[in-house]
Amino acid sequence: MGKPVRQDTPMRMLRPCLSILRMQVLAKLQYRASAWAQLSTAVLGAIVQIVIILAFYKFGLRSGATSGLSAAQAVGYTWLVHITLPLLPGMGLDAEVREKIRSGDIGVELCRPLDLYTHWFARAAALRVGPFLLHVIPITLVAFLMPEPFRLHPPASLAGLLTSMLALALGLLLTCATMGLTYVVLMHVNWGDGPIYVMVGITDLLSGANLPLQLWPAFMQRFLYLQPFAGVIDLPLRLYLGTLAPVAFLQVALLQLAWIAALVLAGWLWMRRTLTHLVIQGG
Amino acid sequence: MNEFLLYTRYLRMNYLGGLQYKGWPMVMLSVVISLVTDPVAVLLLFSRFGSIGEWTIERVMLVYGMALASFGLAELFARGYDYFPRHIRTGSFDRILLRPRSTVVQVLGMEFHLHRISKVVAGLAVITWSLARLQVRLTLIKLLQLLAALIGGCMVYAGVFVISSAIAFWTVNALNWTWLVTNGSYQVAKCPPHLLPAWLRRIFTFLMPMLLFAYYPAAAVANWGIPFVWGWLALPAGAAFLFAALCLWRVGVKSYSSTGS
Repeated sequence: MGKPVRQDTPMRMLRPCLSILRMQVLAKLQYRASAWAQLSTAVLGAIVQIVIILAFYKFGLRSGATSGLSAAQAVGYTWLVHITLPLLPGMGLDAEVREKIRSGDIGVELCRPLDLYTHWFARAAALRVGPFLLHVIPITLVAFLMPEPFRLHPPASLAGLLTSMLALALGLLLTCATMGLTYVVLMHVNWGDGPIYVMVGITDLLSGANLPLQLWPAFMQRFLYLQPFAGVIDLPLRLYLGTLAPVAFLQVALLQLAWIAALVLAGWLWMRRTLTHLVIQGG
Repeated sequence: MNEFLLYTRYLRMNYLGGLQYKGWPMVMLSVVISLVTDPVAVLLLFSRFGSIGEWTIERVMLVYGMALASFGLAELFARGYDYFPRHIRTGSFDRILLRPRSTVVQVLGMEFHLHRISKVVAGLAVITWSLARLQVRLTLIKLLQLLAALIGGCMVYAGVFVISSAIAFWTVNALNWTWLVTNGSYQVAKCPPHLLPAWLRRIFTFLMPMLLFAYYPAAAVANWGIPFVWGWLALPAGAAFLFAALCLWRVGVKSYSSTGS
C-alpha cells in the first residue's frame, strides 16, 4: 500500500519474478518421494521408447533408407526428450491457475502490483525449471551409464553442447509464451477444458516429444522446422546431436525469438482484452 | 447397490454440470484433434520404416485400439481419481471422510467429463477398422472376448489412477507418473512383444498387465498363433490389479493425516 508502485521499469518486474521462481523451486523440492517416482518412470518410459525405435531401425522393411537421424542419434534424442520433459508445454498443466480462475482467487492475483501476464509467465517458467533441475543430473547419468545400444552419447562438440543449452533456454521462454495463451483460454471459463486439450495435443506433437521431427516425412520438414514448437526442444536437441551445425544456432535463435515475440504479444494483448470483461467466479 | 445408485447420481450431477459450459464446438474440435494426434507417431514410424516382419500397421492399430478404448473407459468412469491428489494437498479429503459413505464411490463420482468418451469411440473405431483390414470374422464368442478385454483393461487403468491417488497419501504432491504409465503403455502397444526384452515383457504382463488386456485378446481374436483361451486372461488380471490397487488405497486412507488448514 502507500506509495503507488511503478510497474513499467523492467528491473522492478524482474525482482518479483525471480522470487516466484525461487519459491516454486523450493516448493517442488519439498516433495522428494514424488520426485523419485517421477524420475524412475521417466527412465522406464525412455527405455520402452528406445526399444521400439531400435526395433524399427533394425527390423523395419525400409530401415535401410537413410534419414536425418542415425539409430544412435535417435536413442540419444529419446533420452534427451525424457530429460527435458518438464520443459514441454503439455507437462504440468497448471492446475493451480485453473483453480484460481474457477474459484475467484484470480481477484487476489489482480490486486498484486504486478502485471498478471508477467506474473503468470514467471510462474510457468518456475513450474518447469524446478522439475527440470531435478531431472537433468540423475537421468543424464543413467543415460550415459546404459549398455551400448541404449546409451546416450556425448554431445557432437563443445560448441554444440553450449548452443543447445542456450537454445533450450529460449525454448523454455517459448513454452511459457504458449502457456500464456493457455492461461487466457482458461479465463474463458465457460469454454470448458476442450481447447486446452487441443492445444496440449498439438504442441506435444509438433514439439517432437512423441517422435523426433526429423523422422517425419520429408515433404513436411520445411514446415516442421519453421513452425513455432520446433524451437521448444527439437531444434535445441538437434544442436546437441550434431544434426545441426553449431553455426545454425543463430538462425535457430532468430526463429525462436520471433515466435516468442509473436506469442507473447498475442497472449498479452488477448489477456488485456479478456480482463476488461472478466467475471470473477465464486462467492 | 445403494452405493451404485449414489455413483450414478454423481455421474448425472456432473454430466448436467458439464452441460452448463457452452464450449460445445471446441469440445467437438478437441475430439477430432485427439483422434488425429494420438496415433500419429505410430503411423509416422510405420510410414518411415515400413512394417516389422509380420507386424503390420493393422496389427499395431488393433492392439493400440484395445489400449486406447480401455483407457478411455477408465478416464470416463474413474476420472475422479485422476484429479484426486490435490484434495490431499489442500486437505479437502477431510470432508469426504466425514460423510457416512464409501470413500471410493465419492472419489470416483467427483469428476465426470462426457467428452472423454471420444477416446472410447476412437478406440472402437480403430479396432473395427483393423479387424476389417485383417479380415477377421467376428463370432459371438470373439465379440464377448473383446468386450471382456475392454472391461479388464478399463479396470487396470482405473487401478493405475487409484494407485497414483493412494501414493499421494504419502507423497502429498500429485505425481505426473500416471501420464508416463499410460503413455508408456501406448508405446508398448507399438512394439511386437517378442522384440521386447524379457524383463520389460514381464513388467507389462505381471506388474502392469498391458499385454494381457491389449495384446493377447487381439492375438486371440485375430488368430496370431496363441491359444484362444489366453484372450480371456484380461478380466481376471484386471480384477486382480484393481483389487490390489484398492487394498493400497485402504492402507492409504488409514494412514491419512490431514494437511490443510
